[in-house]
Amino acid sequence: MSEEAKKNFAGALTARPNSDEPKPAPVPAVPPKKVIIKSADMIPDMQKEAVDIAVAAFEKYNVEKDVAEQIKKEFDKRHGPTWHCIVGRNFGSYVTHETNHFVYFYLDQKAVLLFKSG
Amino acid sequence: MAHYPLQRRNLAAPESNPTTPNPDLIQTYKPSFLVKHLTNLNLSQPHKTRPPQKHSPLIDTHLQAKAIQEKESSVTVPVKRTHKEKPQRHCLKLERRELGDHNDKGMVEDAKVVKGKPRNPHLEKHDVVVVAAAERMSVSSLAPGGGRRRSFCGTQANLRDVFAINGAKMVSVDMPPFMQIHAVDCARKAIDSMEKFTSKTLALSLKKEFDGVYGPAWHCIVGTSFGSFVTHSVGGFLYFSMDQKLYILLFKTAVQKAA
Repeated sequence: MSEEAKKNFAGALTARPNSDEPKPAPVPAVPPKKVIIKSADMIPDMQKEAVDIAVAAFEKYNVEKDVAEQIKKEFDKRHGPTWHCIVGRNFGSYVTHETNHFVYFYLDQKAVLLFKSG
Repeated sequence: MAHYPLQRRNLAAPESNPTTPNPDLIQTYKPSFLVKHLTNLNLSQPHKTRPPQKHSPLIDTHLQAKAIQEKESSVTVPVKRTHKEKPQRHCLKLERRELGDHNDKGMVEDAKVVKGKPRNPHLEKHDVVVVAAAERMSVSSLAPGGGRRRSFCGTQANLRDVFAINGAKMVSVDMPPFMQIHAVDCARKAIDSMEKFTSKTLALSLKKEFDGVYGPAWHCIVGTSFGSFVTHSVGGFLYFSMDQKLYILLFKTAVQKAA
């Protein structure tokens, strides 16, 4: 089918400023983070896996690119190359991904985009 | 290994804009078993550059927008100069200086990002690509070129001028100079034509432009605060900033035919 599938999402959402703790401190008993799956083209088990890996990465690293690196490498290892990961508070994107290999979710104030292509 | 057809997806993260408060988060979960319309990646528009490499090696690239704190004063260039008569050797020298600049920036970045991954292997790849690009550009300048191409020497001489005019600053590059200029020009035109700026609209413009001109599949991320880790094709990566605070990531991946 030559028809191009596009999804228009709602306008940009405002992230609440968190000046007290801009980055989550690595404490042993951390309260469960708020997870919202904004958009997904991925089997539920893989989505759960992505969220779990992201939660662990946020606990381990403070820099967004280290979190992105952790998530991408883990998925390259488990589900084969080639995955790409974007993590941040403010970004827009337009990507081409393989069918059933795309997820976009929020983890508290951070957005995580993970998809496979190539 | 299974091969899947590719689909396009567009989305945007929340912007920290106080003038448009929207505390309610809209949850739009859709089941993965929904039938998706496949995108026909066979473009009818003829390519003005060499066709995309289907089996090109991939490079891991690592970057973080927040870590870059450099500030640069804007420069206004009244007239755009063209030096088409300059010998090729001189232009190659210009390229080497550009590489030196990138190296310096790389080192600065490494100093600022303690946990950052060393970028030397990436820069080594860049050296190879630039040499190849120079050869291709020399050859293409002999034939009557398309509107999107620029002369070899002119491109080199005006690289900085174009970036300065558009307020662009190259953070990390693995892309021929003419494509860099194309990206910056396209981004500037898209930003200027928007009544209200949105990151995803700019991302859409850039990705579609590059998909159309250089072949699929390109990906574009635009924002003021994000980190990323991606794998891209050789010669298909560009990470730059515009207007001091906006960062744009544009990269290419190989496309696999559907099984």
